[in-house]
Amino acid sequence: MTQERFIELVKEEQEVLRRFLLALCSGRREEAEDLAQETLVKAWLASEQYVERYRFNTWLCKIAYRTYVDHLRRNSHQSLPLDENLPLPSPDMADGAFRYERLHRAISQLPQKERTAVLLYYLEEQSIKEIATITGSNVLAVKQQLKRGREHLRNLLKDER
Amino acid sequence: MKDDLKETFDSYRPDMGDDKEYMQCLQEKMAALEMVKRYAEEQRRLYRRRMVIAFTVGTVLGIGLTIYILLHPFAVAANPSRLTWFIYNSRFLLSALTVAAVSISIAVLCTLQPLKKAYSSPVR
Repeated sequence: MTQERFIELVKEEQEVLRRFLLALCSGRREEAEDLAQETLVKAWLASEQYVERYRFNTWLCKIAYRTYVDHLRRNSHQSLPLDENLPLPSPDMADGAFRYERLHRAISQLPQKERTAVLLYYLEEQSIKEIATITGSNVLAVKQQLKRGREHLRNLLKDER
Repeated sequence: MKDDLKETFDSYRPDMGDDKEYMQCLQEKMAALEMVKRYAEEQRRLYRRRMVIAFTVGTVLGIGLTIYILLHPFAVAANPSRLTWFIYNSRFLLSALTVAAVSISIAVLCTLQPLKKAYSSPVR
């Protein structure tokens, strides 16, 4: 893949990817931005392996998911309790951050696999089969994670009201 | 059935900052990566070339030395004293030392040259 083609494809997908990672990091913006940059750099380095007949977005999500899992492993020893992990918004982004605080808080309480399945399904609009490819699970497991994730998230959002 | 979560996520539009600025930053990183990739490729190519030269020189000198020994069997004396042994085998020893010196020089050049280049590289 040429650099121009890669940039063209990234231009279309970067915002959705960053939004997905922001939600996956439960609103921790700096962490999400670092992961997005790492994902895109990894994607560029591996761009020769990309086969055009697959969706670029799915391929990018797969790299993002692996980057996120690696990041969790690297930082597992430093993790804070979930509520303390939520960021304090900077004044210019305060409105947006407070607007989604409830959602971020609810997402942060979902188990990692359920969170990934729900976010890939709703934010990235991936099919169940594609989610299974991205996360390296089977279709039945993804269906289960998605079902549980939805129930959990609904309950959490209800409790937050 | 109405999916309330779909509505929630459809309205999830946090401010992600300026797209142009983001892409520019990414393109700068990609350009830096390209430079590193090109530099690494160039080093690999030089390394391969030096290895081929070292192999060729070693083979030619080795064959030459073997032919020389075969053509001058008297060079390696059977049971002489130490001094006469050195005198008898002086040409053989000289050739062996030359081969060793050439091989060591090539090995040193192969090691030092990439290091020298790395320190004076424009990659920052």
